Amino acid sequence: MYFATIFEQDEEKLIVADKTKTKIFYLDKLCADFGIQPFFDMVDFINEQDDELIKKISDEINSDRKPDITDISQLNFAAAIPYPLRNVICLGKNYKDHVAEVNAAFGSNKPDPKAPIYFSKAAMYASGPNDEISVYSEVTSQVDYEVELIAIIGKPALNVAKDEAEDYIFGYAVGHDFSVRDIQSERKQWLFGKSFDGHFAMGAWIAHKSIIPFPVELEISLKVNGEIRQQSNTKNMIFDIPTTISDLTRGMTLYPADMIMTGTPSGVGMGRNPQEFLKPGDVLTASIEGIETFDVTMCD
Amino acid sequence: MYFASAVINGEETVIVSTDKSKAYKVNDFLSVCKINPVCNMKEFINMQNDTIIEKIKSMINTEYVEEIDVKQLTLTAAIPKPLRNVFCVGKNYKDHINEMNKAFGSYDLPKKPMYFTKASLSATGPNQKVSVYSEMSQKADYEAELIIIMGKQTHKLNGKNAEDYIFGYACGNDLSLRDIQNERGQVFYGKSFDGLFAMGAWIAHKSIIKYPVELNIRSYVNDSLRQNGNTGDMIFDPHYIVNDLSCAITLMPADMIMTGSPAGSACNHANGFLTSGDRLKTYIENIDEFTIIIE
Repeated sequence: MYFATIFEQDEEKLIVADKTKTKIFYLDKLCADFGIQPFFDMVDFINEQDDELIKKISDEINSDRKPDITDISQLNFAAAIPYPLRNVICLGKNYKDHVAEVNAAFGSNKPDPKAPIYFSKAAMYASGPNDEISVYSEVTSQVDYEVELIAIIGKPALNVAKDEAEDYIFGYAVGHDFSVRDIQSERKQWLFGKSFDGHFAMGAWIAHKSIIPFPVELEISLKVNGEIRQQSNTKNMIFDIPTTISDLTRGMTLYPADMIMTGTPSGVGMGRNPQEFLKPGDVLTASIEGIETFDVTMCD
Repeated sequence: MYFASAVINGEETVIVSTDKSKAYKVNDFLSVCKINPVCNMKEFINMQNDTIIEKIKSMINTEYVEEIDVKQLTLTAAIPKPLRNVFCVGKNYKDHINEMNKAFGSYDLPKKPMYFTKASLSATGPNQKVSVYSEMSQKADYEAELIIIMGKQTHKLNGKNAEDYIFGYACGNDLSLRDIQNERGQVFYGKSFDGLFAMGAWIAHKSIIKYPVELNIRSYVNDSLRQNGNTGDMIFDPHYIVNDLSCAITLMPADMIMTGSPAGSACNHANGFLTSGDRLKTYIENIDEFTIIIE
C-alpha cells in the first residue's frame, strides 16, 4: 500500500494505491465511507491514522471496489509530504563507503562515527518529482546530490526500545539531501549548506511499512543523466533504523509525519576525482527498491 | 508595545500591553477594526502589518476594551508552539568563543555565521520546569540569547534593511547538553531534547527597541550572576544574520533566530552546570526576564 499527494485543479488531494500502483483511490472519498472527515493534508492523515484505519483502507483497496484512477501517467504528483511538519532530521556519515570517500576528498583520516551524527534540514516546502531544483549558480558551484531512504514516523515516540522501533514508523520514501559543499564546509555546522530553498526533495510515494520487510534491506541508487553514481543497499547503514529511532527518542519526542533521512552511500560528486557537481539541465534518477524511482531536473 | 500569549478560559490568547501590568486581548482590537480574530501568536504575526500595529497602538489608550491585570494571568512562552525548528547562531560573541576555547579547545573566531537548529515543537515558558537529562548528561549548560522574531516572508534582502522584516525580539535560553553536543560532531542533538528551548513571555515589538539592538543581556543561576554581556557585542549582528540566511533560505513570519550567547557559560564556573532544583533566570534589558526551574 502506497500513499501520495497529487495536484488536481490547483487543489491537493491524497491518494492511496495498492502494491502494484495500478488501483488508485482518493483517500478522502474512501475514508468518507468509514464516516471519517476529509484530511487537511498528508501530515494530518499520518497524525490521525492508526492500525485499525490502515487495515480498513487496506481491505477496501484489495477488495473488488472500483478504483477511482487507473492511469498513473495522468497524475500530477507533489512530494508525498509537500509541507514537512518541521525540519527534516538527517544522519551524516551513515555508510562506511561514504565516510571513506569524504576522508579522501578532504585528505583526512577520520574513523567511522561511534554514535549517530544528526543535523537538520530546514524545508518549509519539499520539492517533488515534477519540480526543478536550483544549483544557485550566483552563490556556489558545488551543489551535490545524496540519495537517501526517508523513515516517516507514525505516532509519538519517546524512549523507544530498538525492538519496538518499527511500531513507531508509518512508512518509507525516497529523498534527496541536496548539499552545497562549499557552504557546508565554510560554516562548520551543516544546516545552512543543507537548507537552501528547494534542496529537500522527496518522491511522490510513501510505501507503508506493511509492504516493506523489516529490517529494511533495499537496493538504493542514484543516476545522473543515466549514469550510475550511487549504488548500495540500505542494510549497509552504520546505524540502522532501530538504533537511530531509539537513540533520538532518548530525549527528543518524534511526532507523526516527522521525517528521518538515514544517510547516503558513496558516489557523491564531492567524492569523485576530479570532483563533479550538478549543473543546470542535469536529470537525477533516484531509486529505492519497493518504494519508487523518480526524476528531478536541476535548473540555474 | 509588548505581545504575549496567555491561556484564558482554556484558550490560547494573544495579549498586548505597554507596561506589562495592564493588558488587552489583541482580538478585541481586531474586532473593533472588523478584522477576523487570530487563534495564536503565530497567526497574529503572519497577518499583522504596519497599519494594524499602528491601529492597535493608537487604540490602546483611546478605545474601550476589557482591561486585564497581567498578574491574574498565566503566561506561556510568547510562541508556545514554534512554527518549525528555531534557527540558532553559534559562537557569536568573542568572549564566549574564548571561554569555549579554554574549556574544549579549537574554537576559532568564525569568518561567517555558523547556523544550527533546535528541534522544538514546544517552547518552555516562564516558571515552567525543564529536565536536563541527568541520567545521560553531566554537563547541562545555559545560554541567554536575544531571539529575533521575523515579521514577514524574507527572501534575498541583498543588503536591504533587515529591521523592516523583523516583528520583534524576545528573551531566550538555548539550554545545551555539552557532553552530548561535543560527542556527536554536530551540535543539533545535544540542543534538541524536549524542553531545551526556553523563551520568555513577552515579545518586544521592534518599534520600542532601538536599532541596531544594543541591550544588556544576563543570566543568573539561583540569583548568582553568570552571564553579563551586551547584544551590541555580537560578531554578526541581526542585520547581517537576516541578510545572510535569507540569501538562500526563505524566512517565514514567526520564524525565530537565536543570536548566540555571551561569556559566562557553566564551563567557566566551578560546579557551574545545571542541576535539579536550580532556578535559571534570563534577562534582556527592555524586553523581558523570566525564570525556569531545572529538574
